[in-house]
Amino acid sequence: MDLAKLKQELKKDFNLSKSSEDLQKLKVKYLGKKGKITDLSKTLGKLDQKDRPIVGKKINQIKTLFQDLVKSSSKRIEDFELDNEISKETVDVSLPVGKIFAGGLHPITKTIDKICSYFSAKGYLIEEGPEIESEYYNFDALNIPENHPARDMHDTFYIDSGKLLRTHTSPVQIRSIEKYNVPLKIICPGKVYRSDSDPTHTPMFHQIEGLLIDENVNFGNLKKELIDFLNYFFAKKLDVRFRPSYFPFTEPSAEVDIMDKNGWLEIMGCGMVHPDVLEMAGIDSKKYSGFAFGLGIERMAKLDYSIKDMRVLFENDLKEISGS
Amino acid sequence: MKILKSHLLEKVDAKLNVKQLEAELTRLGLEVESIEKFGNSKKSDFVIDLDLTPNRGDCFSVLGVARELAAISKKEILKEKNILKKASLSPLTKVKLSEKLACPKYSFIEIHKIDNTKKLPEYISNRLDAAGINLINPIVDILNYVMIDLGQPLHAFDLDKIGKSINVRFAKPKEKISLLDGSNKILNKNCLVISDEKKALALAGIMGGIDSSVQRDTCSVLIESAFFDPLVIQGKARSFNIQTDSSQRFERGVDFYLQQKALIKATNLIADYLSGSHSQVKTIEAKKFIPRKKVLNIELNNLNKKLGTKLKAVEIKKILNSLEINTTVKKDLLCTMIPSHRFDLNIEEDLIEEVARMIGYDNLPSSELKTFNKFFVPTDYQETSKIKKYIANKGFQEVINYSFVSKKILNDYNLFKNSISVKNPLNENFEVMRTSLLPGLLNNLKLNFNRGENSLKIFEEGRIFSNKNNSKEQKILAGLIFDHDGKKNWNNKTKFDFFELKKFIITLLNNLFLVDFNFKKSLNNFLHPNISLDVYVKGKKIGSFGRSHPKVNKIVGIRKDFFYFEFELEELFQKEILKISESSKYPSIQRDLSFLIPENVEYEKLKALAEKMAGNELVNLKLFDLYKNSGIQEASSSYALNFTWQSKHKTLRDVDIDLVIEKIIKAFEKEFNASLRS
Repeated sequence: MDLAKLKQELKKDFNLSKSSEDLQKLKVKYLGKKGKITDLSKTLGKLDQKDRPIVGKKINQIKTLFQDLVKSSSKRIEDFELDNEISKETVDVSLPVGKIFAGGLHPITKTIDKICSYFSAKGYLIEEGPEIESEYYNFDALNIPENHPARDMHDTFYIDSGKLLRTHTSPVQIRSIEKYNVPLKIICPGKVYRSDSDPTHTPMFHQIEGLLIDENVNFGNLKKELIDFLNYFFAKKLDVRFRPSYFPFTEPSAEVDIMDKNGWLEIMGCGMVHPDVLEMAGIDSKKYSGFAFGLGIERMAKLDYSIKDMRVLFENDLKEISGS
Repeated sequence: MKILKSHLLEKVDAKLNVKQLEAELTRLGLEVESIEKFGNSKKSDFVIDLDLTPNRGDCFSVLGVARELAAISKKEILKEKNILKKASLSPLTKVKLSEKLACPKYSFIEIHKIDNTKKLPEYISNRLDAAGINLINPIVDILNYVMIDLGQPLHAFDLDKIGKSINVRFAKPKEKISLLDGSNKILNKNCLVISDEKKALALAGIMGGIDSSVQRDTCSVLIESAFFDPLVIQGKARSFNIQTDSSQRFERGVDFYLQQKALIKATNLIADYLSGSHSQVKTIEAKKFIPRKKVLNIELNNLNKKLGTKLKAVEIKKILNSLEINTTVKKDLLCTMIPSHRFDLNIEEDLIEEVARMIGYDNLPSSELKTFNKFFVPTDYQETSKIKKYIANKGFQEVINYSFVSKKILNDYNLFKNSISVKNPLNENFEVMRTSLLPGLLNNLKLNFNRGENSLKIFEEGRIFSNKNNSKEQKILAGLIFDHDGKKNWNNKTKFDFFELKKFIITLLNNLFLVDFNFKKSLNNFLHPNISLDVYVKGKKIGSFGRSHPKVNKIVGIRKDFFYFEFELEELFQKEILKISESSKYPSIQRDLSFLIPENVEYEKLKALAEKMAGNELVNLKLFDLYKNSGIQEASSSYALNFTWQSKHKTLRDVDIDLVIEKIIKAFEKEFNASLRS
């Protein structure tokens, strides 16, 4: 047997193999009982003693070559067969999927979240309070006695039993002082109610109230805190203006405006907590001072989501509130 | 309050254009609502609409605004002459102050032979027009003009229509008065009135009576210029559902030194434009009860500490003096005397605000806050937020509905019981506090359905209100699924069903680490009695879910079913942290059993028995096939169950499981008359 010829044949056979079956057949052809390499091995016994090692070595080389060819061909054939399989598996991936239920939070909730997560990260505790309030928490404890003209600023809804629907989230200030005492840092989101309805007012709306009480809190701290917050909320450095205003529960009081493309825009109210409010809540106003701020969520959501008519927010047309 | 620019700048020596004026007023805290061109006169003039805060009663006049403007622009108020034109006679009417605390000062004058048909000069009618005050007749117009000019409300009585003496007293119980606006009011003993011998002539500081009012043919008047205690006037007008220019000013406080000055100005104008001869001004006063100018101290350190500034006492003194607040410095203490027009300055902080205001809030330093940080556990808000985000991520859109609904809708759903009504609702749609979130969600369904939406998933988190348990408000989480898309997508035609909802609820509960729950037949009236479940945790009902009750569909007017769930939100909050359990290192064994059960048995019962018999090492039980044969004679069902056992301590042996299987089969045969299917 010409070993060189056998090598040639071997390589040719493997090159022509196209499937795992072909490989199996080649195994039989060369290494089976009557296989060509097997036959060759059988001839070894008939050879001269001195020739045996030389031929044996050559036969072993052929065996090694065979194993190598099996390995490389298997890999080639596996890849080929997988490609073949893949090519048969086709789907029109341009076909549509079913209705998308993207789901999502209401713009109001998203806005509250955006604000609360900011202040929460700054160490403010998120507090909520009842929506049905007593006159005491909603007005008296906030330095708004009965018949005070400031009550005209709040068109209050009353319910039986002398209670009312809170007109602002400020009562939570008092409840939190009572609950946690001072020092205190809270942020209070929630629903509030006023007897008003037009494109810019709904009888129910949302506010967020912030309160910080500690020793040595000053007006400059309030300014810095709010400017930082507004820059965060609108994700840019804003022109912010503080101007004097009046809230019975803060002194000094201020309105905060931001510069919008159409001019100054009123955005929130704030001030240093009125000493009477602190004293009424049992806090020593000589030792402690603090600031409070409040803002309307609808107004912020309106700016963030470009909503024109506030009433749309509670009509719940899914196309409108999901923003799709 | 609306004033004319020309009127304002007549009182202060400052040359400002409209833009500058707006900036200055804003800086002062006198919010400019709008500035609009006035009339079409050649000389351009502007109406400035100021949105005054209720503390600044002193700014309810052109003089008041001018004073502020003068202070901030460091200019002087231009003083006008205020001397009564020659008069010889004293007024004849006797005035008695029965309530000296409520009315410590009452100035008046009598004028006769007035021609109340004359025309007033244009500047007066323009200024009234700009202020939005209707022209009535010249006498009244002049009094109104002096009010907007100086801030002192004046009132004129027709001398021919009142008695010889005036008494300022509280009304008698149920005393009646017919007011200028034509309304009749029944008074109470808290109402201060101006009366003659016979009856109440005017509601003091609020509105005059019709019977003694000045008409065009009036020729003799008594003009009143009084000081009323703000506390006596506050709330009164509102209690009668009226608000007048006069009550607005008296409620907030009128300068207690202004009465005579205003009276003289009005009298001189009447003399100038309506002829007439007047008496001298007479003032009845109870000096003891007239407010005194307040004295307040400011500690320099305190001011600088509150504002974060380093101001010197002399600088502060200068600022306060510009506001007519007389200030003297004694080392680090500033002693001030508050002018009679400032009712809003009562404590040190009020003066600190004045200083801040004059410096300009924007000119004050802003500085980083150095404060404490506390550790807090997650609050209800954060728990709520977590749950809402989970549901939103499952494809639900959050909605927010009004907390109040119509009485009708609550009645329709039989939800009116124990509800809380709003005493003064905006309209019939907002009459009652909601007692369930369902009506709101159905409203949303209806609106979206009518706008062409035939499948939706919505949820709401909000409070419901009940007058039981001391008006407790309860936080509820509720959701609604409506799936009636007639043309579903090509690859999935399955409609949302009860079991998909059930799976969603279980997944939600698992996700919230609420594992100890069980279901019971639902008692929720809005759900189909046979296709709904209540959820219990530790024996307490926390919610329910299921398919809509057909009667609810009927009420809402959408006959297609929907699915609904509701939970008491706080019951879903995470109460404990679950420990991670180690998974077993030993192999598991699976077996399938198929039972034919002749009668109607709830799967829950089969499951309970199977689990009981299967022992502690059963880790999973699956119902992988179910066939129900609903024959007329005999109903039977075939249940194919897959059991998985695994121990944490050992490798289970087949022989042990064989014994367990044997036990299960026996129990099923005995309990349910079941037969094993081969």
